[in-house]
Amino acid sequence: MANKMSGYVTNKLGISPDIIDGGSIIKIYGREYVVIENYKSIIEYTKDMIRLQGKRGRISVKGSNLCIAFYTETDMRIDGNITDVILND
Amino acid sequence: MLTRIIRWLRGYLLVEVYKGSPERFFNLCRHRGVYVWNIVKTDSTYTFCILLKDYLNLNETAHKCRTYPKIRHRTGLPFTIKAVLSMKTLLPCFVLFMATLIYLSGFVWNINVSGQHRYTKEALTEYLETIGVKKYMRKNKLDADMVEKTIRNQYKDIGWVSVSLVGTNIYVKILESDMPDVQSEEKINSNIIASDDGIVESIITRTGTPKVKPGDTVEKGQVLVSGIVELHDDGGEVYHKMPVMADADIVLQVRQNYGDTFPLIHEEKQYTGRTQTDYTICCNNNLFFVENILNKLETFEKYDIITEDICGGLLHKKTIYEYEITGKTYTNEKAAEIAAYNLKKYIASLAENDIIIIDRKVTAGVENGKCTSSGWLDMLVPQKERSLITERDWSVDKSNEHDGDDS
Repeated sequence: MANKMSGYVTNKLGISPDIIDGGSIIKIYGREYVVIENYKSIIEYTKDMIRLQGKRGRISVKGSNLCIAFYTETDMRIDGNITDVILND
Repeated sequence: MLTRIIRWLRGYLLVEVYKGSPERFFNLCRHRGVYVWNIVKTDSTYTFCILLKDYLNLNETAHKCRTYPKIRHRTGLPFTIKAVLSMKTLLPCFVLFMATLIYLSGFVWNINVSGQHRYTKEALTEYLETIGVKKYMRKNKLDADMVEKTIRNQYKDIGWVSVSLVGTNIYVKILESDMPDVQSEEKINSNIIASDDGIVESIITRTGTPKVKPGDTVEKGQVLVSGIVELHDDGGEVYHKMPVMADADIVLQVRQNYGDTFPLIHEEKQYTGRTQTDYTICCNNNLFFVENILNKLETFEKYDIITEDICGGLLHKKTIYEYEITGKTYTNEKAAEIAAYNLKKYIASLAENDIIIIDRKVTAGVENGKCTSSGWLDMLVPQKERSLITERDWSVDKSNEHDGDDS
């Protein structure tokens, strides 16, 4: 119900979802690195995959030689040879 | 880049964690505001970078996650300072360095001469050396007042000199004066006389009594305009003579013999191709000398110095070209060319004195290893030479009036 309400408000008012309910923002810069904003925590970190818990689902970044260049309270940058970015509920 | 500099200044560690739950460890770090970066997963461990101050508070977090952090590498200023301070030779070296610095700063390392136009910097520096002011002298031996006085006495056309010692540099600032020779403005009673034998071309008299007219032939030393003005009475008798300073524009047509001789064998500069180059960087009124120390080992006996400004005066380049004097012989054509050049130069020097050449006949020839030019020049010469008037010249002898025989 809450998700529907927030979806309705964002559609009607034209406000981006990350402001209303903290949806994750994922920016992919080629295959070199990904910047993810609005994540909650790191679930799993291996060389080939990094799984994060977002506020509205999980985010999986797959590739090879992955490393976390930096992470702060709000954003994280993942470097490496990135092949997939998967969003799960 | 700025972030990297700040990290280096604060000091950071490359830490390796193993066992336990590293993901939880990183999440806890994030929640506690501990900034870590460059997290890399190796085969069984995780390595990351962390600031030194954060690492000191990391124990509780690591214990909670049952991970074991291990320092792999230390980077940054705090570690560099610690490493330097642990060197036992540092203090003696520092003391030695300071002692050397203080000792060497007691010498003069550079002499900077500025403001000169007629004299070159090298000429002034050489003169300063003769009076004991030179590079590498002790600073306390410099007597600036004495140097200023000596320079002023030696160079009469230098009107102002300032010698100052700033740091290890001596700055000599000079101002050349173009004071004209003091000429007496007072009028002296005088005649205008002929400077050469010739014919009067024109004469315009303003003051005095003209003694010649255009077309007259005059001899050297003859009075052209007399400075004695005679006053006549009604009977035409001279009753008074008044001395004045004769003033007139007189031009004489003079024929002057011309002769010039020079040997065909002469000395000529021959550059050897050996050069020395030094640079000076001029920045914010400070001079930085970029000199090749090896140049000091090799000195040239005869040399020319060419200086040029590069990059709008920021960089001065000084090149010293060595040359040798070699004996050579002029060809006949070259000798004729030089003879013509000498004549032209002579005529130009006459023109500077308002002398006009109206006709000339000069021939040049080579004989007995010498080139000889001879001939004559007809020229119009303004007459400015003067002769003083004595009292005897102008006083009217009236003694006869009183010498009457009363008896």
